[in-house]
Order: sequence, then C-alpha cells, then structure tokens
Amino acid sequence: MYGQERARALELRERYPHAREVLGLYLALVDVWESADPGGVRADGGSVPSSGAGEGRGAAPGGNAWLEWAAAVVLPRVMAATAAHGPRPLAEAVGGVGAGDGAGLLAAWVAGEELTPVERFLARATMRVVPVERRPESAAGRCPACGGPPQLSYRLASEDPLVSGRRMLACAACPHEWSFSATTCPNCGESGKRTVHAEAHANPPAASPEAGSASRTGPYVGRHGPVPEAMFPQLRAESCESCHRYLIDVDLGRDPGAVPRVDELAAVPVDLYMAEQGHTKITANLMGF
Amino acid sequence: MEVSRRRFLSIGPVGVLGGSALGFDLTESINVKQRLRIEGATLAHSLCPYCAVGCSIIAYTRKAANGRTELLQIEGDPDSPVNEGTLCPKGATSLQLAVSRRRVPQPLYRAPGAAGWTKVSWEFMLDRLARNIKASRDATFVTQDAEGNVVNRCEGIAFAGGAAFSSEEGYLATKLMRGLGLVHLEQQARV
Ligand code: SF4
Repeated sequence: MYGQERARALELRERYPHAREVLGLYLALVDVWESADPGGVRADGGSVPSSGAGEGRGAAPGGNAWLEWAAAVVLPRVMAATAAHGPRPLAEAVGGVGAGDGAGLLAAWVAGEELTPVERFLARATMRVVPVERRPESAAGRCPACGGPPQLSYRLASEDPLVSGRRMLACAACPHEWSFSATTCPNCGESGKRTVHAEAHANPPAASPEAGSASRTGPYVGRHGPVPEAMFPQLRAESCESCHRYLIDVDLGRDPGAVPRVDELAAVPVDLYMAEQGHTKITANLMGF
Repeated sequence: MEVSRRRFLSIGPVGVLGGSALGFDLTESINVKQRLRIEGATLAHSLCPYCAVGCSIIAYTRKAANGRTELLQIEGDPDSPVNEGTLCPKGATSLQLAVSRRRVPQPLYRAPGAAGWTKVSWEFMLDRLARNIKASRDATFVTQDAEGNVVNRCEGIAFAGGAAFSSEEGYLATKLMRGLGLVHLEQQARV
C-alpha cells in the first residue's frame, strides 16, 4: 500500500512542480506511516483490538490505548517529519514543540472538535495508522465504516470501452472506500444538479464543414480521452449546484497508474479554480486544500 | 518543551501571504491555475432509445456561447440496475443521433443504373417517394385472399420505424402505413 503511494508521489512530484512541497511532505509522512504500521493493520479499517498488535504498539490494551500509543509513538515522528520536510511556516510552527498531551489532541480530532489547521494536520497525519471504531449506522454519502466525510471520488477503470466504471468514494478519516452513486452529491444527496469540471482545449479547433457541429470544443468528459494538451488528464472536479460543495474525481480509466489519495493532493490548481467558482470541497485534504 | 492540549490549541493557522493555511507556497499553483482552461458540463439522466432493454445513460451537456444546449457525451449509467454502466455498440454511439460528423444534411438520389449519388431537393425527394409508394402499392395491393376473403392490404411494401421515434411519431407512422394498407410493420426497438 505504502509502496504504491510512495512511487506515485515521487512520479507526480516530478510531473507537477507546483505540488513539490506538498508531495515532499507527503513522502516523508509515508515513511512515518510505513515504519509505524508494519502490519498494515488499518487496511481493513477494523475495530480497536483488545491487545497490542504489531511492532511498536507495546501492550496497548484497547479503549483509548491506541490514541495513547499513537500520541507516544506516531505523533512525535509525524512532527519530526513535518519539521524536516514541511513548508517553512509549518515546520517552524511544529519544530521545537514536544508531544505533550498528544492523546488529548487525537481524542479531540476523533470527537470532531474544532481544531486549528495545524492541529488538524497533525491529528490526521497521526491517525492514518490508527484503527478507528466502526460505526454501523452512517448517513448517505458518509463512510459506512467510520461515518467520516468523503475525501475524494474516483472512477474504476474498465477494460471494456463500452462500460463506465463505478464511482468510488474514499474516506477522509479512515482508509475505507465505498461505491456511491455516480450522479448524486455525497454531501446533500442532490441528484439533479451535478456539474463536472474538466479541461477543455486551450485553443478550440475551428469548426470545419467536414467536422460540422461535432467539432470538439467543450470540456473533455466521460469516456472521452483527455484533451491532448491536458495537464491533469486523470483529474476533474464534480460539484453540486445545490450545496456548492465539490470533490476531486480521479479517473483510473484515463490513468490506471493513478493513486487517488496521492493524485488528489496534486490538484491544487483545480482546487483554486473551484474556490474561484464559489465551490468548497466537502472536506479539505490532509494538506489543508 | 512539553506540550499540553492547550499548547496544541495555540498552534494556529500559519498561512502567509500567497500561501495556504499550512504555509504551502501557492505561487506556482496559481500560475498553473491561470493557464488551465476548465469548463463545466451538466449531467443528465436519460434512456437509450434504441431497443426495449432500456439501458440507462448519463448525458453530459453544456450551454454554448450562443445559448444552445450542446450534447458532449453519452455513456452508460453505472448506477443503473438494468445495465450497470454498460452499453451495447448501438447505445454507445447514440450521441450520433444528435451530433454526427457523418450526418447527411440533404437528400441524395441515385437514379436507376447510375453509379453515384446526386444531391436533390426535398421537393424532388418527397415527390419521388410518393410516386414510388403509390406505384408499388397499386402493383401489389390485394383485395381478396386465396379463399375469397376481403383483405384490402398492400403486401409489396414493408415499413420499419426508427428506435429514436417519439411516441407521437410512432403513432403517426403507424396510422399512415395502416391507412395505405401495409401489414408488414416493424420497429427497430424490437430488433
Ligand atoms: S440498444 Fe443497446 S444500449 Fe440501447 S437499450 Fe438496447 S441494449 Fe441497451
């Protein structure tokens, strides 16, 4: 899991100079997660075990023990990685601060308390390797495993060009991913006012009599390949005209090598565009975009 | 320094001018955003008109500069229990009902024995169709069957309706063809 994320982050860091800082920090965090989560115990989003499982977790007996373990073991590493690889203002804010009541911070994040952007970042980066408790009841559009909001949307690749892949949502609070309606807003449930924002030709081809009305000028959506000069061929944004929230959507059909959680971090220019259009992401990603 | 929960709470936003809330430099992202050409397309649900399976489709449209709604793309609806995102080759090309580079905008006529097609007027074409239909009907109209039963039917012409017909077009076509005495009526939606 981490190998794929690392490889993709390295690839995108080269491809997208604008995302170098973000992906540089992400790569440092991947190292932390990998070292703290050797068994990949979060892969199934399972409930907190009653005893420690995995190296480094000591004799964590369950309950709040995971939070205490994470505060003692993971948070300091996250802070060190951030101080070493984060953007200067963030690195300075985090550097030189010891991990005091880290468990309190993590508990506040789990409880959904209001946190500052830096606190939210530290808590999210730390909780990436901590199992969350399952919540069997969850609202539509929310993570069926933990009740968290969706971080991003992605389309499964389909080997057959006549088949549209299903849409998946990835949780912002845990690693769970689930299938969700392709045409419904995960935030408000609206299904009639969806807009897809995609790259269009910078210089639309002139309509020729040969091409007639079919000359391609609009955004390249759906199974269409991307515009030849596309900067983000695998990305688009999907917004709801009712609640004005949006998600970045990663199309694995266009780029089977994409890793949605990593590709979404590189979409900052698209995020800026969407903000300009008056849309807010359903929930900001780990890096605050 | 040991940090308390209070201390954590004191770490506020660190965003700087031209940077994000966490202090990432946005200069390059802003440059990229200014170069990007992004446009929006609206999603609409519809049904493939071609056959009785009734596959669900998603249509992408946009308002063009001249105010007209343009159809950009049609694809299978992955949420549909009928087709689960799949379309057959006919349905997958249903965009061409509305937008096609190969659409013939004018009637073409190939005269008997001619090798090529020539452009003709709608008047010529409609007149020619009417004359040919009348000639075929007159030549093949049957008033009585072999057992002497009165049937009054035209056996020399068959009619196939297009699957993209609306209900009203289908009704009109059936009325007209039955009025001519045709008995061989078919619909592409059943094919
Ligand atoms: S023509 Fe093909 S796509 Fe259309 S409804 Fe029939 S099976 Fe489905």
